[in-house]
Amino acid sequence: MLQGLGVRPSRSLVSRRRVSLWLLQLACAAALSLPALATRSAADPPPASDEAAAPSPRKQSPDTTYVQLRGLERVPDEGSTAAAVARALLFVPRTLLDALTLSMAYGAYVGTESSVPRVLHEVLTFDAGRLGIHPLVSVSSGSRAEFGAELAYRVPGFGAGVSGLYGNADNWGAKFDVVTEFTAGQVPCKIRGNAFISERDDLEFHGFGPSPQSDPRNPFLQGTEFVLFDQRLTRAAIAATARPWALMQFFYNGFYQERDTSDFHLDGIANSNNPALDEKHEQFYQEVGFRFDTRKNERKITPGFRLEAYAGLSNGIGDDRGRFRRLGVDVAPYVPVLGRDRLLVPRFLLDTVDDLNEDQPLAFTDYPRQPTFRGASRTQLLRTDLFSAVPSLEYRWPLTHNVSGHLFLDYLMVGDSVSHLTFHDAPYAYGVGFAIQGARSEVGRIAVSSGSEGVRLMIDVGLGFHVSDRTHWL
Amino acid sequence: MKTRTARLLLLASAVVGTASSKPASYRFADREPVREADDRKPIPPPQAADFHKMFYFVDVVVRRPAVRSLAPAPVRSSRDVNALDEMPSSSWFTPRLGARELSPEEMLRGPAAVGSPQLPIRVLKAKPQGNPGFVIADARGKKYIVKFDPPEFPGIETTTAFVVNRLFWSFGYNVPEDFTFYVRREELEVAPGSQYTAADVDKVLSLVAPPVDGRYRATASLLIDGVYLGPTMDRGLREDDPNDGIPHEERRVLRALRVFGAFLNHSDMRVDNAGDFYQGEAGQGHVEHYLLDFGEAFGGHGAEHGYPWDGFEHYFSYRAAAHNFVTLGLDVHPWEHIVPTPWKSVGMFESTTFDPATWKEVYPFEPMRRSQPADDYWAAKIVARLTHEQLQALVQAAGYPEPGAGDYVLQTLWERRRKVLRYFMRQVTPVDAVGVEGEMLQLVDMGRRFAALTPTAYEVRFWDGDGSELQMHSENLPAGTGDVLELPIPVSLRERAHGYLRVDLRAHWGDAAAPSPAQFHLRFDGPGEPRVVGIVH
Repeated sequence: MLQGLGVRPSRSLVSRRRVSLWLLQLACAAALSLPALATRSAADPPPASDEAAAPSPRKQSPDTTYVQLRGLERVPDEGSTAAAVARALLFVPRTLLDALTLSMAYGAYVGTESSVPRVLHEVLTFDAGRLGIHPLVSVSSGSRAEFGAELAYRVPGFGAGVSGLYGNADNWGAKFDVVTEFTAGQVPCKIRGNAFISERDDLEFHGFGPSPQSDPRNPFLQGTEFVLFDQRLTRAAIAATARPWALMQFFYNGFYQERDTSDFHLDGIANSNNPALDEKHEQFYQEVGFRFDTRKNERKITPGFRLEAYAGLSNGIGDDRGRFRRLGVDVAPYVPVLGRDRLLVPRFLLDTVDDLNEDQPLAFTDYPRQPTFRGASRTQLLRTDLFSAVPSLEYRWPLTHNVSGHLFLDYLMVGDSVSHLTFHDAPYAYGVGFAIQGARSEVGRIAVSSGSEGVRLMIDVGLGFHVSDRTHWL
Repeated sequence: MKTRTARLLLLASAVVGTASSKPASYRFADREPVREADDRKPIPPPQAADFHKMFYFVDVVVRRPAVRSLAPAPVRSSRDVNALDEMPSSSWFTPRLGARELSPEEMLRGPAAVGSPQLPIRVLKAKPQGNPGFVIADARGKKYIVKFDPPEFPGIETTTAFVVNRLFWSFGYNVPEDFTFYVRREELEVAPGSQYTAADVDKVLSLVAPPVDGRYRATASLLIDGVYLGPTMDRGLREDDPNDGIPHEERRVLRALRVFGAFLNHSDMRVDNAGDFYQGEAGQGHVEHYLLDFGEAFGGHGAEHGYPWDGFEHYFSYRAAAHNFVTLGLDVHPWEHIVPTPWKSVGMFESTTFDPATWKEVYPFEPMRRSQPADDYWAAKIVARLTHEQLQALVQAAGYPEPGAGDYVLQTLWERRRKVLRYFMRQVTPVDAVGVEGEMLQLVDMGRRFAALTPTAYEVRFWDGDGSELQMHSENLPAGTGDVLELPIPVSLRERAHGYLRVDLRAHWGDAAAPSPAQFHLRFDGPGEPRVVGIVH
């Protein structure tokens, strides 16, 4: 190659290349010969000795033991040259796979209440294994990959954890969770509190309405598809759930939130009427709701019917005079199509917002979001309006005991009234995914989708997914 | 050019060198087969093994199958068998049913030497792990682990443990002394000075199957003598035990659990259901290896955990996941049609859908995954010696609490036995040697005797000690009508064999033939009659 460029290679370079080539060929020859060498050496073990001789405390080689026990004159060759070569060639990928799965094995029991190997015990767990460290991963095309860890403490009926995810200096988050379960009389109850802070610089706003490019509410887009903005979000939330009957749950969510949006990346003319630009919003939101669910086991693929509905009210705090109301419903029958665990799940999710203070326009960040739509990442506000709906159709089936497969088709519809919700021009996504179930909940999900917004890969480990309450909207 | 030629020659010689390696062949020494393995030499007490359940589960379910897919290697034959392809007596195994007749009474007695707990008993502490239970001491000071049935399935574990414990003892394994016994709450006194309280006892009893006529039904398992060293690991060696000379994944005693497990649907076979115990004075003792905890056989594991796939699938399998993914779950598995029995004391135990070829334990157990046809055949011969009378005695003595449950279990066991024999005996030529009389090699067709496998002919070939073929009977040996065969060994053949003759016998069943022949190795190079010095299946 160098000669082709008109450069003459030096003698030392030629010598090094020759030596490298020789060494490579010698290595190949050695790899091919190894099985034969190994079997030849194993084929001539020490002569079998009389069983009546005095026992030696030193251990014999397994081959010697075998020859004596089996009554053989020599060890038979049961090797395979092809297999030995294949093993040698696969050394690197095998070692990498071994390391990856070994870390999974270690990760499995640091995440449980089981004891851990002594080598990791002092570093990763203490307090008799009740305290553990678990990895967190969030990878999704279209948004920044984040990696982190959770330090969690669990005893029966109580858990607390501190977690962090980090993408870079402008994209990180930290959360503190505490949860307790108890019974009040005969009613199982759960109270969860969390405090959360996150900073991101990769949030996207694609405008209002089903067709943002032509919607008069979006002059700030000015020929661009979306605008990027930074956000710092601080939230302290409490959620309480009670289950007075097996099929019925009631819940209360409340949070205090401070949202600071800034640094809109605008191409074109800034518009002072844009809602929430470079603004800080402080609000207190409360929501009540119920869930009716006939499925015997939420964790497994189980037929049944689920209906959720909520109503919420937000009030601004301090200089923030915003006030709005939310209403929503989420309905999904789980219809068995083959046996009891191949299900079709047609789902319809509707969220609405109603601005109660005409003096202060509703910030775009307070419009409905759609975390269940799998054609966009959670950092993208792809479509929004006063009414937002995500109809979806999913087929679920079991892959193994604790892994399920999903085929799905999602649509995202928005409008300023229910009658304006339409499939026309609505973003859509279809794809396939897997979900891994743990003892109590989903512990991982991988999905690939394609659709109007392109191809997306979503991998989430150690995080909750598609939670339908508003405390998890970004 | 010279350099290039030299390189080519080097590579070619390497390839030729490997290609010219001879295939595996057996040649047996002229000595008596080993009847007792010398693995009870005095050793210092080994260290207790580290075991962490969750790590083990992920390791065997996720890690090992993935890594093994990138490490192709032929599985070697079992290393703990003697010249006659049989298991010698050892710290792992004692030949019983496979070596002699066992009466139903002997089988019922099983390993019992100390006997069941004698009142009064005192509760010492909670059971170390697993389902709720206690450790008790009886009137003689003997200590037992007491295990109860789960409340949803009264009778399921206590009956199963009784039967399966005695079956594994009959097969030849070391097992604890297990007894079914009945106890009233007032008989469970807490030992003085124990930190365990009466309230703790009540709490345990609230989690188990309720009493009948005031009596709780339980399994009492006598604590095994010696120092517990941890689970019997499923691969490798115990490095600090000089007597442990064979990698565990290459032990037939563990590989054969595939056949016994399939027969009994003992799907919960895993390392912590086997244990190593150092027995004897410190420095003068040795390690004995036990099987433990049989209460979830007979499909009890599947019933208690709600696993309809119990005995049909591993807990996780890449292959099954890929198959189900590609077929979108539209390929309905046979086990999905199994209807649970009406008896709570019987688990996921049936014989109609059962297929010994595809039976699987829940968590892949390495030796079982490496089981070879010769190992399975050996185990099948032991199962073959079980009689209906013996099984009936065990099932009746187990005392199933529900009418009809015992009869169902007996019927299922008998049908599963038939399927096990029929399948595993067809994977080899199921013929064993009895001896040599005159010019006749005396053989017995175990497949014909026990599995109703009726051969139409036997293909016979002769080889000398260097692997050269001497003669092939083109007409084959006719099958005859009995299970005893006599194969003539002419003097002319012996002379050509130069003192060592290998006889390959392959059974034919109509158009089907055994996958491999049985090899009988004979020596003529000493005084006396020709003698069988080795057998390979």
